[in-house]
Amino acid sequence: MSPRPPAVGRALLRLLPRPHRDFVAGDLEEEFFDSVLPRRGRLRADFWFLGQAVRSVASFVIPGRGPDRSGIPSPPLLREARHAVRGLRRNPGFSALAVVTLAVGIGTATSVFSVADAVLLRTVSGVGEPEELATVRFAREKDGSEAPVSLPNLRDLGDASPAVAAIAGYSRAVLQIGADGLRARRAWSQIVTGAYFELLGVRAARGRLFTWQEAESPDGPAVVVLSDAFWRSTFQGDPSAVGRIVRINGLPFTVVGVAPPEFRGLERLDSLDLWVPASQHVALRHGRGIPGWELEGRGAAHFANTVIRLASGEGPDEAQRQLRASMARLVETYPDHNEVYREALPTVDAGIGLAPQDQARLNPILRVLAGLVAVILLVTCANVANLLVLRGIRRGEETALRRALGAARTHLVVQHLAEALFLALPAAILGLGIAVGVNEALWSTGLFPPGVAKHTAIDVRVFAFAAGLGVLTATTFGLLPALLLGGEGRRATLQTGGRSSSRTAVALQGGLSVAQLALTLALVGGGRRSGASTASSRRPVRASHPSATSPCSSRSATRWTPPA
Amino acid sequence: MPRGLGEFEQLLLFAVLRLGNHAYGVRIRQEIASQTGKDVAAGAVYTGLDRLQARGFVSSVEAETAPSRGGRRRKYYHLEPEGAQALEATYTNVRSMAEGTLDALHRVASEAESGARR
Repeated sequence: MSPRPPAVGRALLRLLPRPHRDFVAGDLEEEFFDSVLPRRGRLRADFWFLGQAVRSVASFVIPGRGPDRSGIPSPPLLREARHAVRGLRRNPGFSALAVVTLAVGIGTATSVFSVADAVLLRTVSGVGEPEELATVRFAREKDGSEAPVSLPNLRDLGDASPAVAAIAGYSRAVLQIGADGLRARRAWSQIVTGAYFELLGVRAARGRLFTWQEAESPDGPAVVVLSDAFWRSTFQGDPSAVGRIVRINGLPFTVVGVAPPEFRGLERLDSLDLWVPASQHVALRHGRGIPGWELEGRGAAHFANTVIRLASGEGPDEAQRQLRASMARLVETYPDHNEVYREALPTVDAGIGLAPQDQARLNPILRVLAGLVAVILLVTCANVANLLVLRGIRRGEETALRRALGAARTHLVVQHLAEALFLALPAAILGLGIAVGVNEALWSTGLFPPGVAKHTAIDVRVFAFAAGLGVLTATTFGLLPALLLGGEGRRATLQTGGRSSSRTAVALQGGLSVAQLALTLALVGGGRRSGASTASSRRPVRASHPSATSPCSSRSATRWTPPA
Repeated sequence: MPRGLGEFEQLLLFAVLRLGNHAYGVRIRQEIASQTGKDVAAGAVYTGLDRLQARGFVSSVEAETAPSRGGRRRKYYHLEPEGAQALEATYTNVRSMAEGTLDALHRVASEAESGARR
């Protein structure tokens, strides 16, 4: 396998604004492969690349860091900033220690944020007006278990609930797809009802999507829509793939279109390969003509998942009230088939992006991680504050002299603030590298489904979070010592050479040390407890709801189930 | 009066001039390094050239790629007449001011160097 420049360096370059990103990354890779790697060897070439990446990012984000700007006068506050930089350069040991300490805290928090962002926060891409979408579960209150629903029930529920503008059902399936000249492969798929694409506001990138008749007529044609990624990886992006006959689970299907690249499914962790119309559900899952499983059968509950678009101005509560009333009528009208829905009541959850059952299972893990991160950040902050206080004591005379010479207190505070910011920026960049490492370690625990690793990215959003966190922690804990140590009167400070400030500082330092110790003990105790509770459940298990993932292939699929 | 050129901007313009039709990021960086010993960050080359392009001193065109660039295109820069005039004016000014002072300059610099050694 040919070597690649270090991943951290490549990740850093992604922070550069377009279009510069491609040119800088291209230049560095060209130089890396053509001259640096052959002359200096792998290790030194990696360091060279990393150094160039950091400096290139710095030249874009740190004002005045890069090329000179002759003729531009420096604003007054810039003088304090330069003073701060000189101060930090005079104490390289202190600066390095503070940066590394901050970076550990920022890196850990950034890692957890990147996971939470991928799982909980990010908007589902490729979907029109996602704020109007909601999911419906048919869940029993006593144990939370869910019932799937049939196509006739879905249609009647949608028709009888004015707060629901459109309703679609789908079920997941793992299908085998092959064609002439193509090796058969597994495809993560959804079998969807007629309203699916229209409800989500998705348009075909090539060809077309299903017509309503194709999707819901029992004798509808066997057609399939490919995802953009699947079309590129399996058909090499060949435009003539549209119209081609493929075999899915041994049955012939016509490819009618390709979905847009940004649409990968309606959950954040989805990376679907293809979509098949509901009309093919019976053939793919049970073979044709099995009594009781026809698509039009009231009791043929094929669809484990339901999504709705709310009517304009309506909320999920009103939709749920109407759906429950409609379902109660359907139970009375068709008691033979719908008895199950006396208990499994329609429950509407606003928004899409994460299956409610996954959310319920992931929430405790994320809560534990968030708690640990908060404690690590507090320990980090206490550490940095301690370092700054210690340094403040040593600089008592310098501070006293500057104040005696007429420096306003605000100038000193600005200098401290600038120092804190100049510590925070490199710490945020180093923290990003640490976050990449922490993420790798998190995936290796097996606590997260593979989709989380695939969709978690250290990108601009995550960098903004890391930088914001760096600025917040550094300013908060950089200002605290500055305010406390700078609180003495000008004359008293000069006479005592800062010694009266030292008493405040020592008391502050003692308090910070006690807080640090307490937090560290809490962290160790909490870590052991959470480790014990999750250790027993780190194995993938079979799906607890067979209908949630229809294993249509000859090999049954295992589905990741996180620890409860 | 238009703003003059900083040292780094002069180096960039001279590098573009020296390289002729081969002036793109990697070559510009290498040219500055080989002539002056300065190791410039790749990003700094583009921020500097961006400013010069905004002032109309250079123009750029995106062109062919190389296998080692992972399919990314190169951006070639060309010195415009306005850039050449600004560079010539700045360099002439510096040369006029330096004329007849080089011996003195060398003497003062040597004194400072030997003072630093002591």
